[in-house]
Amino acid sequence: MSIDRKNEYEALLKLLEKGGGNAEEIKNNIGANMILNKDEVISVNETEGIKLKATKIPDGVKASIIIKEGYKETKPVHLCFGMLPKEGKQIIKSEIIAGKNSKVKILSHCIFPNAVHIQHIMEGKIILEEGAELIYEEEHYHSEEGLIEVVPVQEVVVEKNAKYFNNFKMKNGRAGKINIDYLVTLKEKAIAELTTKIGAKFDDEIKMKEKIILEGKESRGLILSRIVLRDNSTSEFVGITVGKGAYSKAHVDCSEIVMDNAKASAIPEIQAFDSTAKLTHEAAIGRIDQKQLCTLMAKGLSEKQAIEYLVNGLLN
Amino acid sequence: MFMSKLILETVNLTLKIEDKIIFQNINLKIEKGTIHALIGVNGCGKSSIASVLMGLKKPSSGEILLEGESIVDLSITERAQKGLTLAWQEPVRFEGLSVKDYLSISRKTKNEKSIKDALESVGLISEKYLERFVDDTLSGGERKRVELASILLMKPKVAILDEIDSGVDFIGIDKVLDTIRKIAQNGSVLLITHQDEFLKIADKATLICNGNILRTGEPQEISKFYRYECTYCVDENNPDLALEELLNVNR
Repeated sequence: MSIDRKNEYEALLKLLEKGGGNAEEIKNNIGANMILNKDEVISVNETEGIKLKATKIPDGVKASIIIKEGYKETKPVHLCFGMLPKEGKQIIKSEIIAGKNSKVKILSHCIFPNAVHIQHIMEGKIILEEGAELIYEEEHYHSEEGLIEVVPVQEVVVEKNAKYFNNFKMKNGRAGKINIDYLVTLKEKAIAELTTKIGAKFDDEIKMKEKIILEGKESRGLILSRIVLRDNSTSEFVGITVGKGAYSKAHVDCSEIVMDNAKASAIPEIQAFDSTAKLTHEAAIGRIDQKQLCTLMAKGLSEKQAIEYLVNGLLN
Repeated sequence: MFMSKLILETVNLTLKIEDKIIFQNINLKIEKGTIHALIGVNGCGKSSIASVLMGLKKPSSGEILLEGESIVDLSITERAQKGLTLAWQEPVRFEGLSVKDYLSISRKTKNEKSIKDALESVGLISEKYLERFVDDTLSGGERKRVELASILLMKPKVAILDEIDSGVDFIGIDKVLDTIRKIAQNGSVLLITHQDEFLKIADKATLICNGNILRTGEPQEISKFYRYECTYCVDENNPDLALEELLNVNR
């Protein structure tokens, strides 16, 4: 590794650690990992059952992650996609294939500590083969003030009896502009849970479109979103479930807390194409629950402290 | 120097919402180190009194004195910091907040053992509950017990417990009773209840009827009067008139 890359490597891991991430596992190469700074591949560590490949493309990297059939790993795969410069664009085109009956957790750390004007585009194609289980957690570490545009787009196919869990979380800093677009297709008895938690402030803009197509019989889906909006931030949430398979079941649960001059909209949409499919939804937009607030204040917390507790609970 | 035995006192406390009287001329006297029960039929104003005492609602008139000082203009936080607290009739759910985190809010020391002890006190095994969330995954009875553990940790001067007994299973009831006694060792308790078992641990009881105090006295006597003698306050045909008659009899 050149001195520059070594410095970038250390800087990214330091930032990850500062944000509460587990940098030790990466440093000690415990489990597979891949570290990128903008369009540069800083390091790649494969394991017996996880093959990683990264190739440079204009403004980004094409990454492929292949999990061997039957491979089960208790340590997470760390993907560290960061950008140390203040401005620029990073495109990550990823392909993940979770082999038959494999079980893996991927932690994707997106680190933009100095962002003033950055665009981060993640285009992911994920396939879970029969019986596979994949937890994909995307954690974002942004600068406090800068404007970053994050565009995570995922197309996921979950084959028979496979399970897919996706968690998108803002860990630190300002959300900026987030435009999530997920499409998940479930085959027979497949399961998918999409959880998104975002805190927005200033004039951040959050747009989310998450869709689960329940193609297979007895497939199950859940779309859960928690958004807390402050200042002049805005959010638009669309959660769609399409029940095609017999006895398929899905639920959309969206809750948005609106403070100051923030604005929110939520559209849960359910479409049934089979009479045995059961699709439900609940959406709530409103201010902080006054009873929760008063309960915490009755323990001696100030209103501001109580709000922080409630918001942290909702987002973490 | 004369030291008052009173810890909490209300003077002619009244709450009207628009033209409707929710309660009126409430004169409660809670003594230090005692458990004072507040009883009465559903909707008679008990929980509204609790809300006004804690500062969730502003009274239309009257005074609230904590250790002789008026707290009527203080916020909920300020009242809590002075040693008053309230456990709701319906404990609130907190998404994403673990039992441990929730109890840490009330903890006065950094000693984690005190949190475990508080949970054990209300009959919840700490290993099983510390990492659970204070949300729908806990039953109503479990949330009530977590709330009571939280109050125990606060060591308040006055704890207002609004039907802390409801929803708690018969095995847990004894633990809840013991915990209320423990809270009263360091402070006082205003106990809103419908259950005889809870009245038994009270030192005094006050009967509320249609927003008025009917009687205050020895808990068993008040309970007996409430259950077997007082037919006026539940006269559905003309409650206001019946109450007026009863108040005249008692004056």
